Amino acid sequence: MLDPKKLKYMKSHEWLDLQGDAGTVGISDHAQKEITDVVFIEPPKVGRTVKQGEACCVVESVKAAFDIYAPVSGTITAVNADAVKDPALVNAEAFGKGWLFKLKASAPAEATKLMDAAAYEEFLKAEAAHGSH
Amino acid sequence: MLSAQLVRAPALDAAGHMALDEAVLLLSPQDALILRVYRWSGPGCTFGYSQKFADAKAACAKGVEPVRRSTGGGIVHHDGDTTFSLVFPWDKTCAPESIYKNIHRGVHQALKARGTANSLWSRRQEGLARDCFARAECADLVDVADRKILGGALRKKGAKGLYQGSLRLKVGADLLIDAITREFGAPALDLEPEWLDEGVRLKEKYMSAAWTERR
Repeated sequence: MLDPKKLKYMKSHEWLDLQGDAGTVGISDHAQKEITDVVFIEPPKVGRTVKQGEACCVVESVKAAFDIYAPVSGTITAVNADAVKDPALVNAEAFGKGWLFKLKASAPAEATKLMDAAAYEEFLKAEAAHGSH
Repeated sequence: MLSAQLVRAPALDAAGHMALDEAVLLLSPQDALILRVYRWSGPGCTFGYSQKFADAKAACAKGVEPVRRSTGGGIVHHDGDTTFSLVFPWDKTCAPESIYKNIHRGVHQALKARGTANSLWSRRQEGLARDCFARAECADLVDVADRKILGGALRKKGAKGLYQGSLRLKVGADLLIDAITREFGAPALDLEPEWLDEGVRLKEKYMSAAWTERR
C-alpha cells in the first residue's frame, strides 16, 4: 500500500503517486468512505490522452455515479483490471489495490498545483466545517 | 414561475429528458438549485449508468426503448409516475447518501403535510436491485404497506450534482417545490433557452447505440 502522506491530491479527492513521469491514480480513503460501496468502475481506455482536470473515469456506488478527474495531463498506460472486476477493492484498499489507472505524465510539473497530504487534510477539515447540504 | 416552466418546457421522451437534465447540469451556474418536473410525451423507460442494456430491454414494455441515464440506480418505468430532477451545488465534502436522504426527507414531509402517509425506509440492503422499484433502498420512501413510492439516483460532475427521481404518485409541481424548499431553499424553475437548445443537441447522444448499448 502507498503511504498517503507522500501522495498529491485534488479537491475532487483523487490521489496521485508520481515517480518521474509515471503516475498512479486512485481516490482517497475519505472519498471511498463517503461514496460507500463501490459497485462499478468505468476506467479510461489505455492510450487515451487526458488533460489535467479532465473527467476520464467513472466510479459508481449503489445510487450515485462520480466523474473521476486526471490529476495531471498525460497518456493512460494501464487500468486496474482487478478493481474493475472487483470494485470493492476501492473500499478495501483505496491507496493500494484499489488504484484506478496509471498514466505517463506529459507535464509532471503540473503536480505542483495539487495539494500535498497536509493541505488535503486541512481541505477536508475546512469542508467538514462548512457542513453538509 | 411555475407555469413559465411548465409552458416552456416541452413534453419530451426519455432521451429528451436525459439530454435536458445533462444540459442543465453542464450549463447552469455553479451555485444554481434548479428543479425540473418532467412532462412526458409518452411512456418511457430509463436505466442506470452501469446497467446492462440487455436487462433493460428485456424489462421494457413492447415498443418502449430503454434509455441509459447518466445517474446510477436501477431500471425505472415512466408510465404515469411523477418524474423530476434537481441540479444542485455539490461542492462540499458530503456523501451521496446524505444528499439522497435530504431530498427524500423533503418529499416525505411535503407528502405528509398533505395527508399522504409515507415513511423513509431505513433498512440497508446488499447490492443494487435491477429494477428500481423492486425493493426499497435506504432513504427511499415507502407507503403504509411498505411499497416503494420514491426512488432516485445521482451523478456528480465536478462541483455540481444531478438527482433524478421517480415518485409513484401523481402530484403537482407545487409539492415538489415545497419538498425541495424545505431542505435546500427555494429552487429555480426557469430554464434558459440555451439549456433547451443544448438539450436538443445532446439528445443524439442519448438516442445513440454507442451510449445506450455500451454495456
